Amino acid sequence: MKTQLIKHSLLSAAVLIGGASMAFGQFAATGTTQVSVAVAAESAISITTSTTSLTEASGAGIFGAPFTGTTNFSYKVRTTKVGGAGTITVKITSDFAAGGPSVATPPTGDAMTYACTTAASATPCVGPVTASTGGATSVATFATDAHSAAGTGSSDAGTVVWTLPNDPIYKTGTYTATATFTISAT
Amino acid sequence: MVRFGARSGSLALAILAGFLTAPVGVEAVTANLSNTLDAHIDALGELSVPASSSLTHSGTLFNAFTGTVTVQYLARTTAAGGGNITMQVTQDFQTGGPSVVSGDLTYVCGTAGLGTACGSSTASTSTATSVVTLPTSACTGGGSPCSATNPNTVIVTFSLADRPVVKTGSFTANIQFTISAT
Repeated sequence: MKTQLIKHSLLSAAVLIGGASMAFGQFAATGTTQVSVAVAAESAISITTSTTSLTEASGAGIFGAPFTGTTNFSYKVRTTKVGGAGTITVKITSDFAAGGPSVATPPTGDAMTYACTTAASATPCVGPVTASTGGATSVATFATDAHSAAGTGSSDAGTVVWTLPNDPIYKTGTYTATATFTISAT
Repeated sequence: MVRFGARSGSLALAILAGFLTAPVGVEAVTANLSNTLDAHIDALGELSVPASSSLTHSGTLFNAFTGTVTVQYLARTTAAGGGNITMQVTQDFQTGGPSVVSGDLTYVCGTAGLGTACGSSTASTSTATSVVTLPTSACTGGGSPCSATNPNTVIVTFSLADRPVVKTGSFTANIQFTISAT
């Protein structure tokens, strides 16, 4: 009986020691770990022209040319390998002040429009597209398995070229509007 | 027969008493034996790493994926020796995914429980890169002059570039850690 108790105690101690050792894992001269990563669709945009001035072409004559300006942007995108898609859109989130041009309620024929360029990773809008305060309008679209430029820190570039008719009805002054760009990818 | 038996009994008692008590005046003999115990303790290093580690990030701004691997190790170096822990990517991420060969995977080491931890390094598939350098006369556990903890640990934080050109999906790579001590 006593012998059995001693054997049982020794067995328990062995189990405890074994358990403690297992908590530290297997020690050896080498060890291998597997690192895994799940890469999902992603997109990001940066507006590189923080303020775009719309100016009348010099020498265009009196009311001879619209105000134009270019907003440059860069973007990174990755769409899903199968069935993915994406967009870049723009919305006028703050209209010009009263007395000046208007995106929401422009005088007849005075709608602000834009045209687009992008890198090969996207399909740019076909201008002229009428800007809107009521909803986002397309700047570019991405197909499935679309990727912007390779390389850490690299990105693709695009432009939006704005056109604002030069209507004599506008009062003189400086007017500003805010255009908000949004990129998305699935 | 009876008397013979009585004498025999007395003799037996006398012999028994001789065994049980040390008679006064009998000199004890003590044997002193010497034996040399020669423990040959070699330099040694062993380590343990988790089977897997996930690299993750939050947001959609192409921030790097990050993750950590805790390396536990035991080491003993000689007065004239030293040692190190190194790592090497033995299997790169799959085609279309991140690329160790392209330099996508970098790492930095936290404070080493024993030895000197690496700074910022780029992981490699072709060469082993440093994680911890062990000094001479280093030993794990038990307190001074050895380390206070047993096992020793060092946390390796990985950073994996999130390049747009990488396709969506799950990708894995294998990293082998090796310890050596002399």
